[in-house]
Amino acid sequence: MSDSNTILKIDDLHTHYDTPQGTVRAVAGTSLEVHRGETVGIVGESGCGKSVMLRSILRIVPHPGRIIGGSIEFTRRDGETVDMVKLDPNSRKIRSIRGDEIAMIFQEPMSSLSPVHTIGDQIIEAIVLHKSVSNTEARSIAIEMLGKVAMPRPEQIVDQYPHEISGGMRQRAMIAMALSCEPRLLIADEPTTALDVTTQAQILDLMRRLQSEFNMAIMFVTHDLGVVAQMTEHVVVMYMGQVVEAGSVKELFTAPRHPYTHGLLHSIPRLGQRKLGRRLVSIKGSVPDPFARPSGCPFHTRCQYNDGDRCVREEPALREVMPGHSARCHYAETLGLQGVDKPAEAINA
Amino acid sequence: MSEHTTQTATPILSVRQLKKHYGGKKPLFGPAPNPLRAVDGISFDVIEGETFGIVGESGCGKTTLGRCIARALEPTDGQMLYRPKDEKEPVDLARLKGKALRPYRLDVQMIFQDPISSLNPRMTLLDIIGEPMIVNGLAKGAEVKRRVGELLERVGLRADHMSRYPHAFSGGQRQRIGIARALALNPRVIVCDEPVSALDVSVQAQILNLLQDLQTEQNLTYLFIAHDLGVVEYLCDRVAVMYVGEIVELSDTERLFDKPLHPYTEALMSAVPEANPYSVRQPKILEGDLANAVNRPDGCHFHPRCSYCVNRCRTEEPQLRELEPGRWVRCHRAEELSLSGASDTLVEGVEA
Repeated sequence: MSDSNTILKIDDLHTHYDTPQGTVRAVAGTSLEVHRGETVGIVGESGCGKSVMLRSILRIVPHPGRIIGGSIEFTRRDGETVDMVKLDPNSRKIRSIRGDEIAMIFQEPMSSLSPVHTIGDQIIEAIVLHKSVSNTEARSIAIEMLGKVAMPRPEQIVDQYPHEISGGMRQRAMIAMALSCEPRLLIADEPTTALDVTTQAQILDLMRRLQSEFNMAIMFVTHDLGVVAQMTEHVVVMYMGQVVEAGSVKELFTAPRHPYTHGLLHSIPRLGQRKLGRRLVSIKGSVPDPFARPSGCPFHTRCQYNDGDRCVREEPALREVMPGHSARCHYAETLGLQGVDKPAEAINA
Repeated sequence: MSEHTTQTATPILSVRQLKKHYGGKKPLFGPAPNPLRAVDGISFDVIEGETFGIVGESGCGKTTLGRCIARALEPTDGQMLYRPKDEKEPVDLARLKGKALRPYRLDVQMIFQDPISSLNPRMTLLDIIGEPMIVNGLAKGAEVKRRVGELLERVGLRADHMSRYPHAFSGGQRQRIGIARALALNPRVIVCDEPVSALDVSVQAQILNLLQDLQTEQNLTYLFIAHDLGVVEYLCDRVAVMYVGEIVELSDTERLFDKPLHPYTEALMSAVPEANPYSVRQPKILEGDLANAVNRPDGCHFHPRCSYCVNRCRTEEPQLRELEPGRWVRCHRAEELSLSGASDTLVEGVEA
């Protein structure tokens, strides 16, 4: 049911890793949609499959991972819809999409930038690969991009190496590189997790401005619910390779439908928690061993609402609980989970 | 927690003008280079039974400070006066070395950030937790096993896990092992260096709640080093905010978060994204990056990033002074500025 605004539609994606100890279902039936110009937050703990899912989109899943089913439909600039799963990961076609129409920024800018090339060389390479411009023109585009990401002294930084600049500046350089070809979709894999909170505020502010300037869609992966609440319109919560809940950010935060989302919302200390005098509610146990996936609902081992019967036997399907809000829980309609407080003024607004 | 913090209590640990510098030795020829001032003249008191928080961004020296207190590092200068349980006179941990330091090492233990690299992968839990007891002569033989079992159960693991190796446990469980090891010697002070920041969101709360329970049971004193202000506010009684090796503000948690006195504290708090899509915090965005600890700016070290900076800030270095009882700040303009607290920058009912 994708309308003309959908630029990415993932349907029942399965990416598995075959290892000597057995098969890991890193992505086990993920479906989601991204619309033009929208920011989608993807939330989950380490091992929930979010990074593998993102790498599946660009077909850069490292060996021995492979996509074994599902489709990833991406609508290109010229209106053509391609299924990324069907493309050869080394083909000319996918390389014309990667870095040009879909760009990615990574968590650790130090390890994803080349230490032996200058910042400028790395941005120029991306530009000349996708645009028919000369090296001199590409260089001036690179300097312009560095200026756009609010890099101080862009004319100097362009000739410096990654180790010569700070973490926040490296992340700016990586964003400049990703945006140099004006992508339609930006995949941001924990772009601020490695940064300090004041630097994070700078980068988030920057990303917000650039998004409206370039009118691109962003898939924003993070485990920080504060960042999700402030940056995204639509949220997808993942657990054990599956989407367990998806909906608008307001719905999901104020009226969560899955016990896992509910647990995440109440297990982080927020500023002001002390005044409330509430003890943190923790989710018991830890993420199960990927080789020993629980039967039935994968979350039942940690769920306080586990009924001991249907949850253990039958795997719930992701279904729409309300228009635009879906959850993968047998009891999504009846649990009546508490979200964050809605301020009084917002109800009238 | 707060009931332990009585103003009359004598401090269990008094840190005075503590310094840890790296480098700066005069070479054979030429002038001596500037040393890296990781910790530069820090003073504070920790009261028994309280949780004393140390916050700051990476590179501010908070980990170095924690390691000096646990005497994993030797301070360059200054005093760390520790008041042992049965002795009236405090001892200066900064001066002691080797054998003389050993009895006090039992009392000050440490929990590390990374539960993977801080546990020896070739040792079983029995060895990891039992070794410090044997080395310090607290237990031997079957007694070690019994106590390790007790400790494991106390931190929420099973006693029959003691013959396993760390790799068999998840991140949260490994942090529990680290906590059991720290408790093995019945310490009085535990330096917790970012104990939850490497853990998954869903298990952080388990560890924080465990630390709280242990504190109440055993009257532990925590030095809690963290960069996550939400965690610090939740757990700590008093908080020191550090910037390039110095304390810029020290206060009880409530007043600090209500109405900070230093512009850096204000900026830190306003930068925390609020986990509610209906509320927006207006961040006071700081320009530039953390100052360089080798070549610090003249005057107030924070002045190049400070939006309240005046001429005096550029030339004259402010001292840490007590503005109100129990509230210390290192800023020339602390009296005249009216800074926003954590909830003041929050605008409710605005679309995120």
